[in-house]
Amino acid sequence: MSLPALVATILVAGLITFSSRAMFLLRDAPSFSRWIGRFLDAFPVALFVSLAVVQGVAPGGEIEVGPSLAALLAGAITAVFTRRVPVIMVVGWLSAVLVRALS
Amino acid sequence: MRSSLAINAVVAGFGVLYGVGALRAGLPPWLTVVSSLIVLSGAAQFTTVSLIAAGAGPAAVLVAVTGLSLRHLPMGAGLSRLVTDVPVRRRLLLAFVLTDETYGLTIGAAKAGEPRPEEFMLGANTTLVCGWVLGTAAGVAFGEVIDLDALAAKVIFPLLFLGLAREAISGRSDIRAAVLAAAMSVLAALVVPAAWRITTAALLTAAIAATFPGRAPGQDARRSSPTEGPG
Repeated sequence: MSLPALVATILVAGLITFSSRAMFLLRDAPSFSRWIGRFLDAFPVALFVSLAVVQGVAPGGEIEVGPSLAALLAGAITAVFTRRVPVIMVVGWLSAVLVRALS
Repeated sequence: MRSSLAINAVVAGFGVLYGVGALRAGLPPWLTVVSSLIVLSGAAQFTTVSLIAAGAGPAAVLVAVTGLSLRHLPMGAGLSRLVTDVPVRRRLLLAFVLTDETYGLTIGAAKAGEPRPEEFMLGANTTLVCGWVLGTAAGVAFGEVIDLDALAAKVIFPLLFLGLAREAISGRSDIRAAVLAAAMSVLAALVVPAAWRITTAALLTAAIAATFPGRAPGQDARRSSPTEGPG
């Protein structure tokens, strides 16, 4: 890609991300239907779990068995007992390192 | 606070990773840093860099960025229920720096009873943006000598988002949504192009959870707290 095309692509990408962020946030105290309210209540958990899981799944749907999966499982088990993000991350990371050392 | 510090450290680290990757994909150093400032989305930026490195054109990049950005719509809608009586100028600022991480932190803070979520969000956003942009600049400046652990790059972000998911979980319906989202993510990997997987899995999960809310006693009372509008 040429430099002007790169610059234009980055600028338009910035415009897309900003528009998507601003579209609803700029509206003043919108009132939503109960369904939308429930949708928005469920969305944070759905989004973050998807962000966590998607990266460990291959395009064919295969789950890669190894340090990454160990980290995610250990993090999930830790999350049952605590909601502290640093603790979840440290336990998950240590599990990944341990599995890598053993394999 | 500790969550916020840990998240900022991770984000700065990934900013370094992005800086290194963008340079190797052929972005000029100045454009690499500028992209972190104006796009401000790790997922969109990493995807952009991967596509550029693979020889994709602007159209392919922008379609992928659009797919990834669709998740911001419900994020903004959800936060708009928390950010009330805030001037438009301030809302613009909040929108400009809205990220997955600060969205999670703000939702978690609101659930914990934070009286001024927009102040919290602005503070979290400011430090996170600084970390992301400075991390990118560090990656650009020292990319040749920085040796990043590939395993760390692979596991830290999923763990971060797992932690944010845990902060957002406060009832049985959230646990059901989490299990469903995990299944949807695997399913999405089978049938949806890479750039659309996260958005698809999250939107479908939230739609199913909204359609079949379950019957946990007291759930509705809890749910109609500050995050739910009238009607």
